[in-house]
Amino acid sequence: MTMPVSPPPPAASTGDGSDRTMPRLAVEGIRKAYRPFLGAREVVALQDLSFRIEPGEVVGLLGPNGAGKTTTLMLCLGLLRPDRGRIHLFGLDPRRPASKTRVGFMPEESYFYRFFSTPEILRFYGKLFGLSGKTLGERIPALIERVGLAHAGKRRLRTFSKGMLRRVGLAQALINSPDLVILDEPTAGMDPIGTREVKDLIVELKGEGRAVLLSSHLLADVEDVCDRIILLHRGTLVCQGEVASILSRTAETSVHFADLSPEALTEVTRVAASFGARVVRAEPPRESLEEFFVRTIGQREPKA
Amino acid sequence: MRIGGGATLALGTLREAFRGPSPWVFLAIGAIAALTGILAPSIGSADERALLLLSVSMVVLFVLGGTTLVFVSALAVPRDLEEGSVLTVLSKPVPRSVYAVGRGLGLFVAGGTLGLLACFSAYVTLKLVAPSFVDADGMVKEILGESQAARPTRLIPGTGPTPEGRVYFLTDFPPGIRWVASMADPEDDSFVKFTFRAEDVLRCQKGGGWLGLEMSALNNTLVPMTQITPATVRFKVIGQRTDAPEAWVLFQEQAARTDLPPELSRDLKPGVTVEVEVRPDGQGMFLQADRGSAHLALPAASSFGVNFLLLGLGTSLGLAVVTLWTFVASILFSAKTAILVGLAAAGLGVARENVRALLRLLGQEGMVNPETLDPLKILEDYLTHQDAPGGFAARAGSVVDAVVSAMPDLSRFDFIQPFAEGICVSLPRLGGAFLYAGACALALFSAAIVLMQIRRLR
Repeated sequence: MTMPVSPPPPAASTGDGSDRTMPRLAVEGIRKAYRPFLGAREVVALQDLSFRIEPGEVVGLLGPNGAGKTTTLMLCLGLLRPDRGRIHLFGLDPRRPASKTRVGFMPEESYFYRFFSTPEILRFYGKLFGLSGKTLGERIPALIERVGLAHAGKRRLRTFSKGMLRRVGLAQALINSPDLVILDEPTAGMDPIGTREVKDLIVELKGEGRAVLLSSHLLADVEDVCDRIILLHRGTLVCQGEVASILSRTAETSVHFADLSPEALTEVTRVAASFGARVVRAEPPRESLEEFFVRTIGQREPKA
Repeated sequence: MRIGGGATLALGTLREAFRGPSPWVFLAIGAIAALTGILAPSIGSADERALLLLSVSMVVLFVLGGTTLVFVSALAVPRDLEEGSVLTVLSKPVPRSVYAVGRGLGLFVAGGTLGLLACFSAYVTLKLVAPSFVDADGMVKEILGESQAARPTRLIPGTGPTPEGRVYFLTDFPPGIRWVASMADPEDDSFVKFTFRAEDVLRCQKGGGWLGLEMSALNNTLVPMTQITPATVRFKVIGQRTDAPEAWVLFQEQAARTDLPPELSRDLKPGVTVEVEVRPDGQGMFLQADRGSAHLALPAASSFGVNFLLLGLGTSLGLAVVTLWTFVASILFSAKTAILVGLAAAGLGVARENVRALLRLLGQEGMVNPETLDPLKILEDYLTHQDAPGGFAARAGSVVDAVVSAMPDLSRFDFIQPFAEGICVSLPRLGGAFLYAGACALALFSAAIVLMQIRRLR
């Protein structure tokens, strides 16, 4: 995303000190099963799942298809009711509308009225939060700028590409300046530049102290921006923890040199061997394809 | 519960309806309906053609518009669910019930408004393609032209019993022209007394003439047509007065072929004032409008615009109710079921009126008693009978009756008569039927909301 023109409005707060440390989302031992019609065997979507999301934390929800990611999001938003266990959204039952005033949700598919323009659809969603016209008048232009849709003007959503629609979805999720942002496949359908901008935005949100729950199939995206991950498989929690600790290989050490000659490399290998270590791989580092794409195309894009 | 969310959703739904292709679709439907009415087989007199045009146009408009709205409203919620749009809304502080009410209200208003738009389109089309039907003066001239070609006709203004009333007589009414008379008290079955000049009375032929009274103080008032027969009009000489020379001439001309009661013919002379007692015979009613300009109160011509407006309002209301009905069904059941329910509701409304019209025709021919053969009437009687099984139906029927009785009685606007061999629809009554259906739909809607709330609290 481009840099914000104006800083986002301050997050909604209850005003007491406990709000800053209170978990944005707390899930405790939930179970959810779907019961087909006429007594067919139930399908367990989630089993004994617990996790918390603290302020300023970016958490990735991972898992293959059918792992229970979408069910988890629906439960967290109060759109489904757990069979067992409890969920607290800002300390409230998520089925209570009041609990959602500080939550922004970007579903995988959204965009209610396709004949509206971006400002109109954002105003519509803002009104659902009960935001005043004055607040929306200040917030909407900044949000449009922030998600990179200023060039779209008053075009109707039906003329937007999928990537542009995702940006609209992202903007509507931020219209209430939420303290918890739940994103379901936020980069699906976006080009690499858009993907990078979304990831930058997530990092910005984290910097502003907002919590983010991110569900995605794109592991590289999750790895880039998440502090923690929650890995689900067939409705059960496989593992959760900090990305850095989960993915680190303690038996290996990576050292990057600049201007290392072949002779020097031979010497480094010899010194390592003298300490009982061995060089596993020695090759020029490569930038990722995403980095190459963003760098190359970014140079040709007009400046915002 | 944030009520404003429902209003926002309703307003959003309405705005969306008018941003998309729907307005153009309904403008086209209105034009098609009007053209279909114009192209309908020409039968009867000019005013009957006007009525036919009105009815056919409205029926076509209702069928096309209703079918379109049924599909739109039936697919609204399934589309929201399929695209995930509903998740976007429900992730906001908006309860499901508010979402349902907001969407339903928006669709209801959109359906009615689009119906009005189609009516407007139909009216403009008529104005452009067949202006003589729309323009009251043009219609009068057209009908009088037809009549004049066959037989010279003259209108003589008369005097009424009150400053507000004026009386007109016409000796030979052209085909299709129906005169109006006023009732002093619609609830009173007794004769209404007016005084006229004798020469005017003499020019009314027994059995063939019509007596008309224009009440200038009454605007858009329902008045009954009265044909002068011994059973409906009584004449009595009560005095004498001076008359204009031309009236005398007319009297002389008409007296020779006046077929009035002998005692009246004997006493009627120029300058004699007679008292006429008029009892409405209930042969038909229509809305009389445009009092200031139309000398002839033609049922179709002088009030075409008002009739069109009334029919358009009734049709639009029907479309709105069908839309709401279908929407509720789509929430309770599925899109396919909702489409069937919506089409059935619309079809039932039209079919019921057709059946009634046909039965009425058959009843007029003495073949059947329509009251005993109308299946819906039989069902209604059964369900609302005190001895009905369960008893609840009787109470429910009473409630519905109370609701219906509190509504405007559109059956008073029953000015469209059966025509075209039974293929006729009394749309004002159709409007009444849909008001009834609307009450049922609202009851269903309320029940659906309660059910949803219970599920939500579970």
